Amino acid sequence: MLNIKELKHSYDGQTLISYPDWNVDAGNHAIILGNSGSGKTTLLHLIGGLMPPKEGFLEVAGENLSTKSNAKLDRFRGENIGIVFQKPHLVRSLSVKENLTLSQYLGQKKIDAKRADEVLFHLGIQELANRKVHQISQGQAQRVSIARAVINSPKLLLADEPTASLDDENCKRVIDLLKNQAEETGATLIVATHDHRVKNEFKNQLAL
Amino acid sequence: MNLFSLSIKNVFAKPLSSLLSVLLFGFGVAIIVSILLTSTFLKNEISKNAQGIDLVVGAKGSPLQIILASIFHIDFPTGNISLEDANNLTRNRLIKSAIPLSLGDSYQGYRIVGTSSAYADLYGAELATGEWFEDEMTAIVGAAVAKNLGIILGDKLESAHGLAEGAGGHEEHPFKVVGIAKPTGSVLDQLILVSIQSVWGVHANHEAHDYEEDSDMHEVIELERLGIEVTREQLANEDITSLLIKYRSPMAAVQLPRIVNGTSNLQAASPPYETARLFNIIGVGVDVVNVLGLVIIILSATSVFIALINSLKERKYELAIMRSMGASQVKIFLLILTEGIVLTIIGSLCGFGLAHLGFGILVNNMEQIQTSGLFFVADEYYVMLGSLAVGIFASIIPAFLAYKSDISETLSKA
Repeated sequence: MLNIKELKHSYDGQTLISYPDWNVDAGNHAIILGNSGSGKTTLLHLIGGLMPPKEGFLEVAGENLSTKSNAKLDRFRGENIGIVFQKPHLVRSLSVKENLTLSQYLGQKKIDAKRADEVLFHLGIQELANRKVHQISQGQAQRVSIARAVINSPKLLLADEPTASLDDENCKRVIDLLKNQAEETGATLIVATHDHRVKNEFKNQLAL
Repeated sequence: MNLFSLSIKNVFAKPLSSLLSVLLFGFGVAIIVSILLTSTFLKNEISKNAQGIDLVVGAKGSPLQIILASIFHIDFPTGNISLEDANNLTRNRLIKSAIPLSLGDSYQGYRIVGTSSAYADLYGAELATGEWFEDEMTAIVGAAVAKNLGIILGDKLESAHGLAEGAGGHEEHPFKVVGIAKPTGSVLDQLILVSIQSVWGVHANHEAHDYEEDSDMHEVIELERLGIEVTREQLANEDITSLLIKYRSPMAAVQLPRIVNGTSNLQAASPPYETARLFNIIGVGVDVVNVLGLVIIILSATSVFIALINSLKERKYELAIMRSMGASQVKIFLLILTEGIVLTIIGSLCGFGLAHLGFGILVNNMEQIQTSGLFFVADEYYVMLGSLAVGIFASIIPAFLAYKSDISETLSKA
């Protein structure tokens, strides 16, 4: 599912970060551990196809991302990747359900309202479907953002610091939720975090 | 869910800032469209009323005033000319036909025009009921006059001296209504037509010249070019207000005004020239208002620009996340562009609606005008295209900024 070799990246003019070689097989949920500034978010963005890598080999879902043009990366993300960000950042002008169908539209999938209802149901927030984004709580918004990430049944589900601001109980709950949703949709989950509470949940670990 | 519905929702998600942009744009467009409507309408109206009239001859004075009084019936006549002078002029070979007008009286604010039947023919007038005036002191009433005053056949109209309502009257000489004209859409609908002789009759000074019974002064002669029959006495003593002249050949346009103006107390006025002059005078005001409209549109373009830039700042994570979900740069560009265009299109539709509504109300109150708010002119398409261009212009920079923004960089700062 994921294959990294001699991958290096830098933002303009900054020092090059080299990443260790790493493999993640399909279904083998994994974690990227590292303190802030260690480049784990950057790695997650590289894996998610948010930018092309500067150097090295990066294969995600069977496709070599090092050689892809920007337009192809857009397409690739829509088809293969679902990302849960640290903050939900839902589209404020839309309802909860519309946020999900927007994801379908942008991922160039068929608009399927039933699928949206289904995902909301699995996450236990189906009653929020027609709420505006500003009418729901932070925790609910995070669930919506998970729903948004899995609705297109991505091959890879990426999560960036999903537990950063949560208490122990909720931390565990969110990780379980992510795992469940990954299983449900047949996705491989990769979590990037500095949160050591999460560490023991995953066997496949990459420390930066 | 698609790009268009998303941009509409984004526009409506910020009702206040969108309202400001829409209002400004709407007012700018409304001003420009109103000017366009009224000036086009006015030009149409003027050319419709001036058709078939090559030259107007009246008493010495302002040529514009002669045109306004004799064609549009909105100003006061410059004075009278003697029938003899007028008749002599019409003998000129350059003149094909001439219609005499005798103005100066009114009935309840509507002008009474002493003329020949040719004047009604000029506007293609037909009678709805009754018959054309033959005898003295009979009148044909224009469609609007009849409708507004509820005049029916056989009514007696007591004319008043002057053109304003309530002026001193000629109660002892009422006109009998013998015909009511069909609507023509011209100034004729606002007039009461009587024979020239009737006007003279009303104003007859009773110490008339005492000619001998057998004098040839009572002999009736036909003034062929003027289309009226008068006695020699009338030809010698009576006045008319003006003549509406049609040329025999284009040559006349050069020569005739000179001949007329060379005659001591006659003044020639060319309708196209005078109306062009009138528009030049009004034009300055029109330009000022148009500039005002443009300034408001530029302000609104700025407000659209600022609204979009602000919303970009607020929504940069949203937009980056949309990119992460697979949206291409072009899609984000189009989204922002569409938002700007949606704002300006809503604004311009409001503007068009407002202008046509205003115009409709205006013309509804002006009874001599037959049109409605549904009067459209071709130039409105240009205004529409122009407002679209302004919309694109105002949103292209924000759209480009959104296009260029780096998603990974934005999201890693979240």
